[in-house]
Amino acid sequence: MTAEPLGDQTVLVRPGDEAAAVAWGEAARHSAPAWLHDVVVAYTAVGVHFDADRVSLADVFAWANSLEVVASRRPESPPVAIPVCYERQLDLARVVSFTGLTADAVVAAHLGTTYTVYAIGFVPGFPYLGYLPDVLQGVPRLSSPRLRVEPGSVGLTGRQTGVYPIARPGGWNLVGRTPLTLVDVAAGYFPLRVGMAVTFSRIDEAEFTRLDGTRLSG
Amino acid sequence: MSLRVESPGLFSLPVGLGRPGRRALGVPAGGAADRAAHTLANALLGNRPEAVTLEVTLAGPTLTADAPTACVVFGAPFELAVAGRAPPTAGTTFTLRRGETLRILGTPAGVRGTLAVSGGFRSAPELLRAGDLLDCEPSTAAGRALPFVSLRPPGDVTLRVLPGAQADWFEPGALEARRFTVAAASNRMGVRLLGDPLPRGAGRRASEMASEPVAAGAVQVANDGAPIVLGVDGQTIGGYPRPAHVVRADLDRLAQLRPGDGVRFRAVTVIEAEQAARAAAAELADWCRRLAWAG
Repeated sequence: MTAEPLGDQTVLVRPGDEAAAVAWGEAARHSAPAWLHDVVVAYTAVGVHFDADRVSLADVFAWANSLEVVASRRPESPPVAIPVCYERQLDLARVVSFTGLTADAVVAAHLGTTYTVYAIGFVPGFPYLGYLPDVLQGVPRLSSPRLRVEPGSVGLTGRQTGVYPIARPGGWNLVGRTPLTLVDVAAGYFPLRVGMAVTFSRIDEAEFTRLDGTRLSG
Repeated sequence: MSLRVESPGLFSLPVGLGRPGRRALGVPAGGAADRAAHTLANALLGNRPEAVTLEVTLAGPTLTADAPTACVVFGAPFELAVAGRAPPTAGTTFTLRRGETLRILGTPAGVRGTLAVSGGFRSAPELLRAGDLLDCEPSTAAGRALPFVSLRPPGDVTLRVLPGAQADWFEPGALEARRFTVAAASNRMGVRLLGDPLPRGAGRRASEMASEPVAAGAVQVANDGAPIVLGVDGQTIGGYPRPAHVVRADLDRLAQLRPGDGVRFRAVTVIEAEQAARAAAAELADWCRRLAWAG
């Protein structure tokens, strides 16, 4: 494990691999010192945001170095299934031309993988899901991002796939769309967390219309 | 009672001191961009630091009171107007009478002002729109004034920085050697800087990184070599390398950077950063104490 200051009110910890980062983040939240504001896990790094009026950087380092990390406290839960209508795509042809696969093979490869939420960010609730199967890796971002990507759009680029929870500009290759609501910031609805497993399931247009606007869970 | 929004201004946002706790979900802490201005505006009216104020940007809103309201505009020295009487002065408390309309105009320096009312606004923090009602309590104010803490001498602004997580990706000293100017496309999410692109060091030209947690003050350098300094509404994770990080004592100064302003960076140690933060906090607390006694 290494730790370094990220400015003077955050410490960036690198516990090892992605799973180690999730376990370290859980231990940090569980420890819950009074000065702790936020624990953000992204890939192999953990950001510890603290109240710098209440604790010094040196004391946060000491706390981080003495933190006892046990195996994940979270019980293994089944993957969250996100239904996707792959007919509602904009960039399947681009992915086909970069990968050399057929459109059906692209969809099958995207469906055939269980992903892990490695980070949440860019916009509130945007899940970075990894890693794509080898055959889908390496498709570059659009050379010029779209000014508006619709909520629910499922994109991929590099080794990642993800779902735009709210309308935003974006440059990922859009291969489908989910009708489900993944985030409601005002209501505090954020069903996905770093470390969770996610799969995609295929739905048709009729099912998309039927499910449109319902929440991911509950 | 309330203030009615006749026109919302360029970007007017009810703010408090920010709400940490949701960064892991991608939600930045937010809150007042210039925290000292927000805190002092509240102190001038006897409010607690966390009372909700209205942050106004470059061109302020027009607001009509339906009951007497004790107000003050602080932060950048915005020009104010109330029809039929001498204009109130930013930095001095005044009572907006029933039926009067306050126009918060422009500012010759800085970017952001803070409108505080006695007791704070009671409405939810969302971007202002015409027709909105800003709920607050009836009140009157004696004229109290404070010199502007946000005013600074003319010339370039120097921001103190700690090394960033990817400091070794860049030529040592290159950031500190440059002068940048603030781009118009700057906001609460980030301040974009224009200038001589910051070159990557040897062996780092093609490096890519996974997204990592970031924080307000992070200096990110996009692939075109242009730095962006993240603000209070900045993203919670970022995938661009960061040569430096602006210390928290200078984040209010960052929030008042105006398009066209000159910016330089100066490297400091963690000890210097913590001393600067303590000194700034002590000065703010001192002003708040004096205002509490005077009240």
